Amino acid sequence: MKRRDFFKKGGNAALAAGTLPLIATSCAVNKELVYDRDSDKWTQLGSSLDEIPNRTKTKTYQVAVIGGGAAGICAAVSAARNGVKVVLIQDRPVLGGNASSEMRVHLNGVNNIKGKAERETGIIEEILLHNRFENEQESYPVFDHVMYDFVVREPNITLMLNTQAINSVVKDNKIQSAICWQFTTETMFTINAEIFIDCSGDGLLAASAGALYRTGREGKAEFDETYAPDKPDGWQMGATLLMSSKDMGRPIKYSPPSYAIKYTNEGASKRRKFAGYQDGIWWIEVGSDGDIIGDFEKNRHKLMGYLHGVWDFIKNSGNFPEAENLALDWVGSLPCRRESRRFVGDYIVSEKDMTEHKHFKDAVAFGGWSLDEHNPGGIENISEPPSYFHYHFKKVYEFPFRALYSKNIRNLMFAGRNVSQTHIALSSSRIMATCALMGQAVGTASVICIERNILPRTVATSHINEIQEQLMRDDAFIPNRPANDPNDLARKAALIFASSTKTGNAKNLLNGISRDIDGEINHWKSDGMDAEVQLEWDNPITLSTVEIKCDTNVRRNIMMRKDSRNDELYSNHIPKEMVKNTTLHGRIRGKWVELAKVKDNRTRLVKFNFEPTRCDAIRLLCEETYGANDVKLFELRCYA
Amino acid sequence: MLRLSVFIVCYILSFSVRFQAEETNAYALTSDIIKHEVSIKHPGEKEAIKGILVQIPKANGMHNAYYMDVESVICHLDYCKVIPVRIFWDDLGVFQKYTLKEGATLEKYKDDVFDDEDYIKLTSIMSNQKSPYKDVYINEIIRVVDTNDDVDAYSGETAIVFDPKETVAGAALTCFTLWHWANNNDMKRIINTITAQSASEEQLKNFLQLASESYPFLSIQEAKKRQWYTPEFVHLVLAKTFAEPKFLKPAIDYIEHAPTAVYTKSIKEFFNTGDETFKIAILRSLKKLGNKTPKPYFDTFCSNISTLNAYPVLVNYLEVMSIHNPNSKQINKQALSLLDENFITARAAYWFLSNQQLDTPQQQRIDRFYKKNKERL
Repeated sequence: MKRRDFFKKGGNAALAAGTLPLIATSCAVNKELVYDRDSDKWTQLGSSLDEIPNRTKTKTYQVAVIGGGAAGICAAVSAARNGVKVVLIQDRPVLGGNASSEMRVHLNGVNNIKGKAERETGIIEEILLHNRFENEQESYPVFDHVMYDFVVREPNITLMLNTQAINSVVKDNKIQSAICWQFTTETMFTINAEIFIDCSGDGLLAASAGALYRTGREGKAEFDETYAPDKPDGWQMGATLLMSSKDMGRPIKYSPPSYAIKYTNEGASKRRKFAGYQDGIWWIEVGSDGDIIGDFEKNRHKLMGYLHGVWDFIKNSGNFPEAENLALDWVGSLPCRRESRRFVGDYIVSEKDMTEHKHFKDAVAFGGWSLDEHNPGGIENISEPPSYFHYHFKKVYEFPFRALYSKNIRNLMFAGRNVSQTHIALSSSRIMATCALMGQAVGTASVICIERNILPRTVATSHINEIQEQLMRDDAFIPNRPANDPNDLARKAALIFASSTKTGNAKNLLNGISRDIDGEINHWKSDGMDAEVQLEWDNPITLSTVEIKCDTNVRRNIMMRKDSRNDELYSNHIPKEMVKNTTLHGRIRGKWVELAKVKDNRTRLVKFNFEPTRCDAIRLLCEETYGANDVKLFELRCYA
Repeated sequence: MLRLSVFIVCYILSFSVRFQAEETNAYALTSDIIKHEVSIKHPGEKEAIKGILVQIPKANGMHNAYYMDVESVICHLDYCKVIPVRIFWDDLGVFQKYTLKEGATLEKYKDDVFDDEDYIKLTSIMSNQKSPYKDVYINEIIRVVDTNDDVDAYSGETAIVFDPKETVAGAALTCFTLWHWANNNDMKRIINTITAQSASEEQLKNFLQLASESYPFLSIQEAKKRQWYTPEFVHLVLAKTFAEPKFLKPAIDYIEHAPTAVYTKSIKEFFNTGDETFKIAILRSLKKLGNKTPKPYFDTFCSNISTLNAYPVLVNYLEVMSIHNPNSKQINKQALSLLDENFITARAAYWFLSNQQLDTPQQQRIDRFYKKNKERL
């Protein structure tokens, strides 16, 4: 418990002691911090002018998202697309967090439920599809730029890279400003915003604001968790350092560097496997039962040593003759973190919420990765299995909104591994695509906060229906919560029918469930191409938007993998099922008129936007997919 | 995208080949076998693998069998012991069995060999089209030395571990290699193609009658390729489709490639006998039809419009008439009768009629309809 006290107090204590260099807390009314560098004389040889560079800036946005990993990107993009001005602050030179080229973790999600994926849709799927179009070569550095493109093309987003939110200005339990250091420009930014979303993983901003959090493992009794230890302790799952190798076509020698730590595999658990080692070994992992953030640099050094030690074992032990031609091609220097702070919200998600599939009325996301708790000690305790894989889910679990905002800092939300949950719950929900769903949820919630001038807790108590409907319109999936948007005019149609049906039914396009799940079919699938769906209303209506959700085969994973795996569970290309070319017609006074056309579509959610048009029927013509012989749709919506 | 680049060269060998009795039991001991050079993609290899696929016509001429000799493991290292394995498929490319040369044995890791139960289990694995080996990547299996290994494969953090029932312990690479030979989609496609191409017309007729879904598809597709449209075979196709609507799409595709007279006759029969699904499919086929068919054909296409009681059929029917039979007195008269139906049906008829040349009473009739419903039109 003392350790937890340390974490609770740590952030504020550092500020009060003035230990952050070059920053002093101002007594000014606006509570902004001042960055004092009077002695910095910038001498320009060209103009012979001496001046003090301006290294402080103040910017104001409606929403500030801290952390540019999968969760942060989805939070920022969802908020921006729904109309608010967002700043996305990322402390690295690239976006993507653990999935970036700096770390290269596969962007996993609900990868495997009874042999099939139950893939996340919405913004995270869009990113992964964007990557399939722009990065056929499956390059991690190119993936960085794909994500960069995905973010900067949004006009409502300001992206700040190489910038870390290191402190906060708090008033009445609300964050007024994030104090951010951009090291490439030597600039201290004061970022004012109405809503702050901490998706940074470690959550320095939230911690500095005094947001309550936990670290370590809960004891069994607290949440009645089967897989928790008997007594609470401080253990946090470690960070991993990855690498990849390439086949040089000839024998390549390897000598370990001075800092390598000898690895022999003696006494190792039988479950400590080497399969796929050429693309990195996830159990080269070091955690901490203390201050895992404070230990980070020490652990990084160890991890680099272990990485080379294991590679030395592979190359030189004689046990891996097939590795003779392999050479290290890329080695990580930035460990991929799994766990540190878990902030406390109005609800703490725990093991049985997941394993017993608790239904939350405020569900906004879902998960399904196994309860994959890595062993205490990591590679320093190799007699243990590297993960216990306590429980494999048979279906997805729900994740509630009340776990995504702070219990005590009123305008603070979070998404990612730092949300309100137990250590055991984290062992599943920490997976990036799951975090991304949380990100889209809090980004959408932030818009409701801004538009209605309310705080996240009020969203939870009074506007859950609104956030759920918007999320589903934006192609997020919420288990056990069919969409029922009162503004959707498709639901008022008198008739819906299709030109042909191989499976499902055209009426399913209006049932509010945007995937086949739990053994239920919720799709319409044509028999052949040039397939049409027609809706008719009793009376003419005015339409300006029609949206469809087409098939992208959510039962097959599409994330980029180092091994470019391509089989029934993983694919390395654009889903062949996705609609490529489609045209929308409206019947205006008895004549069919083309309203909009989408060519070379790249998304599951396809939007037709056109001038407001009065018609009494629409007809959607699906002309081509990316390879499938039939077209499959899950939803069709119409809006004035 | 077809992953396989395949070329097939057929040549009939004039010499006889004697098989081991157990390999040939249902087949003629001696016959003119046909060899096909094939180039097949196997997930264990980057490049396509070339081989000889042998077709064995059955003595009674009904079904073929096929076999190919492959290697027991795909292995790029010297220490793998590779055993030739002969794999047999039926004439739809479905795995039947494998055989080894006399005295040959399959080996496991650490110089262990297959026992009798292992061979039985391997057959079971290869026969299981949903085997976990279907989804395993070879990189997950190639792990030649793993001193602590008690399972065959896993993937990343998900730890996909084979159920012991699904694998032969210590022989994951053999299971992987042979499963992907036995259930190779490209091999299946090649065998289907050869079977179809080598079938006689009598065999195609027989295929159409078989209960298996694959044979009738094969038969209809091959008949289309051969442009084989005898009245007897067309009738068989129509009868098969009425009995089993799942063949509607290939049947229409077949008829669409027929001479015009066959097409128009068959399509009318389909329309007047088939249900709503048939009718819509036929009308959509007619929409694509060129303008060669005379209008009277359409005047009598449907004798009574009121029988088109399904709205999707009706709207498609009216669209076909707009395209191929505009200003037909017969059709206009039919459409006028719909103005007293439910509003959505009447509206469709109204929009159709408003684009037709009408006589004065007809025009007055639709004007009255407009006046009554103008707020809804």
